[in-house]
Amino acid sequence: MTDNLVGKLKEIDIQASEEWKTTARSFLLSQIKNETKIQENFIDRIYQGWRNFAILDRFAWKPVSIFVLIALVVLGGSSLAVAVAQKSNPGDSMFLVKRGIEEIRLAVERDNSRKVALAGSILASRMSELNLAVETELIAEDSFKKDTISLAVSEVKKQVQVVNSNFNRLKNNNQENNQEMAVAAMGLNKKMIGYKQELKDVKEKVNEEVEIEINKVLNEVDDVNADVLSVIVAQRAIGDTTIADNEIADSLEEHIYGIQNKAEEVLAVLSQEDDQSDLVKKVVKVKEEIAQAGEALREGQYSLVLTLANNSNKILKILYGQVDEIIQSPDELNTAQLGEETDEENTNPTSTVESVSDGDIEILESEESDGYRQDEPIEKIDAEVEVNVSEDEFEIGIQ
Amino acid sequence: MTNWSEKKLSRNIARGDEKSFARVYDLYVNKLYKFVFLKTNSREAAEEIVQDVFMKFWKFALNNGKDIKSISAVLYKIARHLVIDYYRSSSVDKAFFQLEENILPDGIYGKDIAKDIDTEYDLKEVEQAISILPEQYQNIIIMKYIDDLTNKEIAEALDKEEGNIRVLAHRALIALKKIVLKN
Repeated sequence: MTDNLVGKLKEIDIQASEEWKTTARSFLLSQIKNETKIQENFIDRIYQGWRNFAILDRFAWKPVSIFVLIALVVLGGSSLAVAVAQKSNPGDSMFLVKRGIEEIRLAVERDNSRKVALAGSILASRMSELNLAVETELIAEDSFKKDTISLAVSEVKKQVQVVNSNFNRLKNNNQENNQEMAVAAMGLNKKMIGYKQELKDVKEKVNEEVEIEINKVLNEVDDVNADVLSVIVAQRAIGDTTIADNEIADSLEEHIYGIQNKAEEVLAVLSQEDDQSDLVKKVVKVKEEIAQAGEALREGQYSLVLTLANNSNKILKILYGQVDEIIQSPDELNTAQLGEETDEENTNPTSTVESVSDGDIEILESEESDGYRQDEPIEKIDAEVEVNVSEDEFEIGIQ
Repeated sequence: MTNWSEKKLSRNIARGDEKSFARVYDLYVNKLYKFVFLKTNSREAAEEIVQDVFMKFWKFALNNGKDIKSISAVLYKIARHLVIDYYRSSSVDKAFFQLEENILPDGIYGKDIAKDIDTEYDLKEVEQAISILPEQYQNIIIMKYIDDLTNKEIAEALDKEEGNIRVLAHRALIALKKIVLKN
């Protein structure tokens, strides 16, 4: 019945140029040679493995993961095993050893700013592993799929927290060289912006469950960014011009833009659900606050920008968490949140939403004419955030 | 290529055999180029994407070669995902040009599309019509009628049951015909 059409389809003759095919072939064969060499270069890997083991031996008294020490002893200090571990990914049996080695490296580094840089480079590894997991899962046949994406997301989240805690330690201990710290903060900020985009790209390729986990990671990244930006803005406020004004403005704009997008996402989800008009109103108010932050940015009031942005972000975090719970079915909520607990208040999504709205009413309904929020309501939100995070956070994969 | 020879090739690649990789390249470069070109309508994009497909295939096969049942399925899956990424990152909004399945033209009055066998088709129009088919129909048309993949290979590449491919292929042809005749 469609013979003519099929015949016409078979006539379609699209050819790549011979020149391109030949060039591409040569290029690919040269590139895969490099890939093979990286895989097989055990001489370098063995050397690196021995170095790591030697460091471990010297600092065995440090409070590092004892089970990693045991693992290495059991492996006979096998440098080959260490080399294999370094190429492992979340879900592989040797990944624990790889993480252990990274922990050791971080523990033995005394300089706080180098610690932050090292934590950042380990985070880069986690992001590469996540991207690889996503690519592999998309290609793999169903019978060979492993749930490596969730594991990789979990590892990224942990590492973002490590970066954050190391940065805060640097911030608290660093009384001199604040300029140096501000420059380090700017570098970290740029990396975090890049990782945020990568995580958003990954979000589009994964299922809803993993998407929710990635949203949590994005929240953690925003937290790091907020801390980092506070250092940069504080330095600027005391007249330090090491970092150019336009760089600070760009970073703050990016920060606000990210929060605005988050608000739009929450709004989009809520508008599809029934009986969420109260939450919608809250998000609309948050958006107004973000608009005020934008105004403040145009006027160069960086501290105000940061305060408004961070306030909005904290509220959105709570709302985002609640949106994730609204999306999940009540049965999933029961299993995911509390295991065997049967507390009605905690397993009922509606009651959780109500408890949040109690917590943030003061923020959203206060009558600050200049949009500047007081400390007290933010602390209340912090308390709500901690409660909600501990109630609904569960981690998949290696602890 | 037989299943056995595909498995042998993928196992060899898992061992880092470059000759086997070159063989895979020679076997599939034309088909993949056609597939990507018809979806993107751009020679530059097709060249870049096809190159990336083979690079990603190599990396995947190094770690998973012994598990690969069908090389063509893996290659086409990678190609599909890279084309999707291409549209996400490019400034052209593909969705603007690509029809959704539910708004395909209703057909031409007085003609029974399915039974129409006498119409002569213009090659260029057919190519253009393919580029605006919904993605699922696009894949089937290109893989089945242009790249000559078997239903089994198409099913593996698209993660569908083999039985569904025949039905989808029929629907895709009807959809394509509607677009061509409407234009």
